[in-house]
Amino acid sequence: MWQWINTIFQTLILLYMFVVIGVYVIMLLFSLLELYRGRNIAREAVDEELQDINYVYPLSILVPAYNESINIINTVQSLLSSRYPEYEIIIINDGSKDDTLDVAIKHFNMKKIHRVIQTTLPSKEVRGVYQSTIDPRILLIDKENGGKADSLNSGINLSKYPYFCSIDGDCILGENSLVQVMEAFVKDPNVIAAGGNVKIANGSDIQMGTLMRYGMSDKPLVMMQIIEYFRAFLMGRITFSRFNMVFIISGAFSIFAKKEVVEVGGYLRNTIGEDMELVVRLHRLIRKKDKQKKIKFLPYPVCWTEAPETYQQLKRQRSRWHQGLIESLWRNKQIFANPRYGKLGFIAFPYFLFIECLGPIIEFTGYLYVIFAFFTGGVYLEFALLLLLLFVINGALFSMVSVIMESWLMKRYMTVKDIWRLFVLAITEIFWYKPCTLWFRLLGLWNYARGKSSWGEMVRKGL
Amino acid sequence: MTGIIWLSYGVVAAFIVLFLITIYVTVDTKKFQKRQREMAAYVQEHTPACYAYFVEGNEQQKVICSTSTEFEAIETIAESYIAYVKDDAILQRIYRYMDAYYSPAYKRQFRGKSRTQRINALYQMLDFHIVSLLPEVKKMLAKKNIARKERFLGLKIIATLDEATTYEFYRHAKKSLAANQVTMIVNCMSDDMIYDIVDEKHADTDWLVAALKVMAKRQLAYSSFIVHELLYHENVAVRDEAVNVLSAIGTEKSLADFEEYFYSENPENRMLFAKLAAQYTLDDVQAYLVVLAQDKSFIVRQAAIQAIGQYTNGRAMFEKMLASIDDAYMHDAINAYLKGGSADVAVD
Repeated sequence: MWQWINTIFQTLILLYMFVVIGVYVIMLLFSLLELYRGRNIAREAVDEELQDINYVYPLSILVPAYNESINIINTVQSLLSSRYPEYEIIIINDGSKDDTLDVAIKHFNMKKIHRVIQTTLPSKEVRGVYQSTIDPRILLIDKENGGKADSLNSGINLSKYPYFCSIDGDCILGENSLVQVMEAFVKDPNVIAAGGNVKIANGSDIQMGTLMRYGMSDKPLVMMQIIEYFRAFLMGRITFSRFNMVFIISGAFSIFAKKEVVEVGGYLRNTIGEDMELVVRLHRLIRKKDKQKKIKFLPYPVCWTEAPETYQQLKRQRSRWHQGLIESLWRNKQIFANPRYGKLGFIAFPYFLFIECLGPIIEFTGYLYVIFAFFTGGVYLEFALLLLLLFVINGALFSMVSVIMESWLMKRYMTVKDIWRLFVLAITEIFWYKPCTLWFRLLGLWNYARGKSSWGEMVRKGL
Repeated sequence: MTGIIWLSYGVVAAFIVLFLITIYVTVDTKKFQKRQREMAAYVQEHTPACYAYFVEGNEQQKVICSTSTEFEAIETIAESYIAYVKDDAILQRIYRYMDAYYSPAYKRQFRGKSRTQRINALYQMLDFHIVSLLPEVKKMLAKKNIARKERFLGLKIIATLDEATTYEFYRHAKKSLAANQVTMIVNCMSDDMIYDIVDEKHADTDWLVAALKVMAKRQLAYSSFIVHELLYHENVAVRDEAVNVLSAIGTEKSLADFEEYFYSENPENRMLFAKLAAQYTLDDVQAYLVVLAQDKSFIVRQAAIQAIGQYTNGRAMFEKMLASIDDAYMHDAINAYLKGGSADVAVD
């Protein structure tokens, strides 16, 4: 009997690992193909083409800020240095406990103005609207604390343009990033949402909101996150975008058509993963009403962000992300294996459910089983070796491939030393970083099970 | 066990392959960065000569390069000039130079197997008006299996350098183009060509709509008569664009003729009406504009208030509206118009 249970359990774990690796290999192939196609296109020429106000749509840029006094000025300055023909910037101070409001008011010389806000989407009470006397395109909403989704809804209510872009308060955009994302909307009027690539800027030289020199942090924890971002953005999202199955476009940098967002009720306020939740509801709208509409991920427009530098911060961030993922999947469970949703129901949803969301439980169970079986004599050497090899392939090899892909694309920025540092670090991933994030994701699941919910606070060092 | 041993070999082999690729990427990165540094140095070195030859028109000045990096550096300098210079004489000098010395390189790139290289060559041919490669572009457009991007850029080149034949090529490619892209292609054409499309009331409505959009953008007023006729065109998109053109260039028709736009459910139509209203005297249009200034759509309110603001007595009218109409959105839009753009922001 025990022998039989052992065999079943081992087969299931191995099968799961093979499926995961198979999925990653397929995604890797598609993303390599996609990146290869566009690798040497003169991006400057593309961007130049789109600078004409008559062809790109004016944009409202929403910057929700909660305790972002250190980064907010840099973020807004980076937006002001964006090469985009027409836009407004709306900073939303979500009842920050620090001096975000004062810093913004002082730096941009803002004055309180009387502005009527349409209550198209629900949000907490607005205490005041400010406008910069230096650059009237900069507006600030001071509101009661209600979370990121609430802030974004408030920003949408005030925004005047048909498209809006959400940017995190700790992000820096490349000067052409906005126009590069907007290119997707211009080229194809069916695109209703698009997100760009997010990269980590810890260690870089940023002045006046502009990345002057790319530099890499010396901290292994940050470097490992850099690899993880490469993997997440370059492998998964490119492939999903190709088949209109993008489930997540990062809230750190994404552009949406306001009409459709309002139609689905805006950002959901009682959830942690509001960005994923919105994208999933847009997908449902697409299936319900207009099957031509698309949601895209674009690998070239870059948004720089600050990554957590301590395990404590990383734990908080990752458990929150995972909690958001499971919340959103649960809320939209009717998509799963539902023929009405086509490939979304049969490919994208199962991927996020079994590999991204439940993956930590399966992996953790695998670890527990091996330890248990080792002491009870139920584990075979072959099985242990095979599992180790699969972990190496899943962890180290894919990360190394991501590093190579990124080095190839980012050769303008990365030094040779950086490439080798990341390459060597990628090999070590399975021994320390993977178990850590596995634990943090399990905590996210635990928090979800307990019903704990908050936007969370991250200690900022400043970019 | 044998399977596991083979898998282990596979993993080790993969490590070795990845290691070797990383060595290649490292060397490639080093070479790339070295080339970037050299380029920056050459750009600095050749800028005075390029300035004298291209901008000042000093024919005695030689712009010569001996290495491929120098070749690219001069291309970069020329690119920076065409991005900012408007003087036709300077532009023509640059175009002639680039056609004479760079077209063989672009031709090679364009005939290459790499699609990205071909696209880059198309961008350069478009930027530098490389007339000598026009037959190559036409040959490419006649092919069926080219990328959308290549087709789009090829059409832009034709529209820039040989506008009379553009429509023929466009006709075969129109299915793969978005509306904005058609407008971008038509925008490459001269004013005369735009007039021709509008004057002949081109049968292809997408083409006609694009021409009307460009007409409105450039405020081309000579075909006003035809534009008025297009107000009765069977295609709604053409009618809307005709109104858009008239809102930009003016009309002698009575505003009452456009009332359907005033009552339209579509806010963009109401906005067009507000823009159009600005062409008439304030007495004729104030009743309409006051209503539109209270519209539920921001873009309509904004257009109506901008229209009122253009009249000399617009400010007085704003004051009257602020005092007599209790509509928070309208107050807000007027305040935004009056204060926006200046350092003087309304204080609550």
